[in-house]
Amino acid sequence: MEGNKLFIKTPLLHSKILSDIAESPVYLKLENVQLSNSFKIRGFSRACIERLEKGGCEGFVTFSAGNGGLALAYTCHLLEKPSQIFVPSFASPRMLDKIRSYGAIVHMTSSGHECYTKAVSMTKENPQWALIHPHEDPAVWEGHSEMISEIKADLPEGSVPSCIVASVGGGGLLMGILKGIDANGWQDVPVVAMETIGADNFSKSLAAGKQVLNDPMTSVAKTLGAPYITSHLMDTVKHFNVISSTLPDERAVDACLKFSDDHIFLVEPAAGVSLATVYSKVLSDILENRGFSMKAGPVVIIVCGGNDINAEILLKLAKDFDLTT
Amino acid sequence: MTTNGISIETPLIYSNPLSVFTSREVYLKLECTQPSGSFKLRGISASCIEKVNNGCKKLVGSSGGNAGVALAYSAKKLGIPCQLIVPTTCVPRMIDRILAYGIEVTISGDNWAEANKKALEVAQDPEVGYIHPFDDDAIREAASGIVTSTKEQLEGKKPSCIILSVGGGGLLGGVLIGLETVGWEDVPIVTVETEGANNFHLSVQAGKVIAKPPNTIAKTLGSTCIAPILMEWVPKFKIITQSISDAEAANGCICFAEDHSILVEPSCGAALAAIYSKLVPKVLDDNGYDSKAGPMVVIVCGGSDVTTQMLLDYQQEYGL
Repeated sequence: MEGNKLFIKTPLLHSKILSDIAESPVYLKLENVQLSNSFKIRGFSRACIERLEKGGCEGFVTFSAGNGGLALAYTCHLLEKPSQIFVPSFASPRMLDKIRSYGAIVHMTSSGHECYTKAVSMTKENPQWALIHPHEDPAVWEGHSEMISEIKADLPEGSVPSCIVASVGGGGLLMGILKGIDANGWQDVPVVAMETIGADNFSKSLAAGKQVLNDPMTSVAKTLGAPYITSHLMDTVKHFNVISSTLPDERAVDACLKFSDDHIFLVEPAAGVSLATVYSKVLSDILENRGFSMKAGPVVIIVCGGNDINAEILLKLAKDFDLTT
Repeated sequence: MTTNGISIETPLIYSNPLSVFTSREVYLKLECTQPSGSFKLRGISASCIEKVNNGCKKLVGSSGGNAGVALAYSAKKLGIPCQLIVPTTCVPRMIDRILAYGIEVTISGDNWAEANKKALEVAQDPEVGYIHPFDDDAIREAASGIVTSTKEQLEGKKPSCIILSVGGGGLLGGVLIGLETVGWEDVPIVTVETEGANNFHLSVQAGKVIAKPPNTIAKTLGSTCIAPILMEWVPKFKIITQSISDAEAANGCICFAEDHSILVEPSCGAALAAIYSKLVPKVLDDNGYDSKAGPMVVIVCGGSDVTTQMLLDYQQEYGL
């Protein structure tokens, strides 16, 4: 790991199979092989390192349905600092075991909203513990944004994507992508922000013109279940070409199943929903409805990763949705 | 770290689950992230580029496995026609993957040797370049990049061992060349095969090439015999050969999918099984090596002949 970074540069995979389906070159940014199995460590580690440089911090706290908690726990394991993670009741026991395996203390709360409020009040009462907010912290967005520079370096020289497709939970990744395209002269590149129906508060917030609470969380894509999207997103999206779109859970699971077959990686439905834009052949329309074209350049999909998946979970989800392998 | 425009430089990641399991530092060299799905792309693409530079207008090969997929991918990237002549024993799933690259596939022969004979006949045409699946200097040289890049990625740390699966020896040959290149000849190498395809282990024990017919779920370890040149190289390195059961290889796949969400074939699972079956670090300590001297590096060689259903079938079949 270079310099002060606790994450790796991940491969940008040119997928022949998805390119054939899309009839356009498709590249996959493999954040699923990132340390702690998701992109989150980029932002979390950056935020932790910056906080440590400021001094007076003995440990770190966050709230998360899983992957953010795991990223923080892993970061703290590497930095040799304690961590405490507040989790909602719908987080899977398996995820909680993984978080604990990194040495973090896990606090169970009743909901996505409560794990946020408890994390905030704990750090207010104990200021030596620094709260790392998964989606409101500019250092987190900055950490995530570096993946765009990596993508630019790995694409054929001079190539500009026709779009970047990414999943939206609380909006931390999306903020990072927007920072990244800004820093790389790609401000005009459309960003397709995908959610599953039942975890689609970004789409609802845009429609309402204000933040909408993600409650009840009914999607199987649990890790998209952030109670609110970051408030900054509502203003920031105005300066970019962000296209919000949603797909049902069944499409996300279908994409996960096909992806495991085509590329031997297991990803959560949260990641699957972005891959589904190609597998379900909706990407072209999503872009054209806003005056963009998939043919303008290579499609880049951020495969955000995620730990809440294994062969058994995937096949059970497939069965639940009547999907066959 | 440079690549040839077809294969990529793969990540080396620290694995917390495997490190916790072994109480050591375990790193994974993710050759499974190569665009064709396995480390074979390094050597096969190098071999293809060499043939094209020498004036070949078409490529021919005989592997219906991961080498075949690597060849199909390379030919597609180079924009050059390619024919794969594969035996009837080839797995349909792999043939589909090869066909997806627009490669001409001919099914001929009951085994690899027969298919390979046909491929060599086609390559008698001077404009056709024959690509061997593993026994080729260009392939071994390119595979050595796995070790040279690992050294850079470890940033000054020297491994206590490198763990890998052995089939025909293309990967092993590359690793040995790499060790010599970076001055790591004294790093212990733990080679893993399944009991039904352990020709390397048997050959090292006997001091000569043994070619036992394969009988294992790790089909892609089942070459007819290892590349003979390896027998000359073995004495110069610290190689510890291991054989495991099919059940252990399958368990390696299942545990790895659980820990890292990556599907691997039993051939690749075999190397991971060295960890999950607790062969390593014990076998290092038993042979007088210090397993704590540095990180243990597992080469996750990759391979496409696996699906989630297959993993669940193994789970059921072996009671895992």
